[in-house]
Amino acid sequence: MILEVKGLKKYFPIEQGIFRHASGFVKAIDGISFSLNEKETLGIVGESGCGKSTLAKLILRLLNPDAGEVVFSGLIRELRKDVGIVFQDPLLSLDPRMRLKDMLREPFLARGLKRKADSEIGSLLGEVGLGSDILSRHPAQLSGGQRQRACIARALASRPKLLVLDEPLSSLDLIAQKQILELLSGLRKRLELTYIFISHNIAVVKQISTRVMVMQSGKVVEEGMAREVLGEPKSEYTKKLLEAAK
Amino acid sequence: MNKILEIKNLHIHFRHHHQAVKALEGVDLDIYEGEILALVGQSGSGKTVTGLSITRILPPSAEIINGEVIFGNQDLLKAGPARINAIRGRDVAYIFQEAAASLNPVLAIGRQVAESIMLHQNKTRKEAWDLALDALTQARLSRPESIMRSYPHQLSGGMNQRVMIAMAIAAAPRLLIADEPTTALDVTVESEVIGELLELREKFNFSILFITHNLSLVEKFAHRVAIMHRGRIVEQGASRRIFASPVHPHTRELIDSIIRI
Repeated sequence: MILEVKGLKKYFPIEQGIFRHASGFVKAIDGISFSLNEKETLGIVGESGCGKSTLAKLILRLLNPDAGEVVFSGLIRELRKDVGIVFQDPLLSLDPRMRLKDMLREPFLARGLKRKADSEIGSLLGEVGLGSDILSRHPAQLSGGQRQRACIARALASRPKLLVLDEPLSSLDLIAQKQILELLSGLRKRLELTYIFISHNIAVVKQISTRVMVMQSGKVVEEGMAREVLGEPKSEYTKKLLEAAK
Repeated sequence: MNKILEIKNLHIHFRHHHQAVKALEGVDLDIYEGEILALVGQSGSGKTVTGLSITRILPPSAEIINGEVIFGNQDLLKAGPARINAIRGRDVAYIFQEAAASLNPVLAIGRQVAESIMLHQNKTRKEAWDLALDALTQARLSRPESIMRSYPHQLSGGMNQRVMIAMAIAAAPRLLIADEPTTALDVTVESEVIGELLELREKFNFSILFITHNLSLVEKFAHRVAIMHRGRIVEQGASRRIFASPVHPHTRELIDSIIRI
């Protein structure tokens, strides 16, 4: 087991009035538990506002939970190294003023591996299917698909075991979506990665996941093997999502 | 069927640091009365520029090099400001991807919808308010009275897009240009909004130019499909034919990229 989430809760206060007193809470994550084995791909599906991205941030400790725990196989200070993240909008997650070369060098500098950086960057680019000619470019000079490849390369720089992919395809057009999906499947096999794949697109989740978790209003509606959950859904909500995706 | 719009040999370039980026390189496209024409292509293929060029609401760096946009026996590219303003939002209406970005955040919904009705149809404030209420009801917004008093940030993405649809159809347009209208919405909301749009088209019989990168989305409802690639229409035809026997390699590539459930 690589990751275990136990009874996770995150409530955001709704602040009102001049003194910003909390008049209520949005239960973004309301008691979620699951475990993740190595080399597994867990697909998390749900509509906007169901808490998918909050869950991703809690797993990465970009947010602290109000209750529950996230147990990672290893030391907590290694979490940052062992867990990578790719966000939805590659343009927003890249610094517009940095050349790709400097951006990809940063993860190595942060770990004091300056000397290794250049050769490692070369192999990272090869892995995500980018040519070395793009190293001198800024994010604005890349296409959407190239930008997302750059984000994936950056996430892989620390050689993580687990990648959290938060809607990695949603800001790309269909052809780029298919290419990135194929890239991710290939990387998983080659580098023996574990994925948490978050998406509102159930067809994409079906394609890549071994296990699927359906979320609604901060709770798990249904969870199980991808074939079972999406083949013979038990809950009405999963059926509705499948119907809309047809 | 009658043609309501004819785009002929349209070339549009963007000026960028003394260089010209060729956005459209000879686009020819006809839209017929009452039809749903899907314009499909990858990002950067020029589909949005084509839609915007129809009523010349292009960004300032765009330059129309050549071509004609014929609407009602007139070339809109040469029409004067008064004429083009009479067509914008009235004969030709738009809805865009980010509905919230198209609405004014500091004005109540009712005022915005009524304002566009007053502007286009010469109505008094009171008449426009009633027509706005009616348009919101037509667009399937529940509790239209309270929505009239709400602000865009208080509504969901689907509701905001329904407000945009209400505003667009209130002017009884002949052509509705829908540029990625459901891309920012959830799948369940997406199918609802498209269903409502199709119902309204049945009722008021306007044509729709549906711009999207998602070929699988339009399979169910488009009468005709035009495929755009690098500033040109590379293939167009009846929807069924495009999906059954695509001719151009790029069309095939788009069809192959559909991830089916």
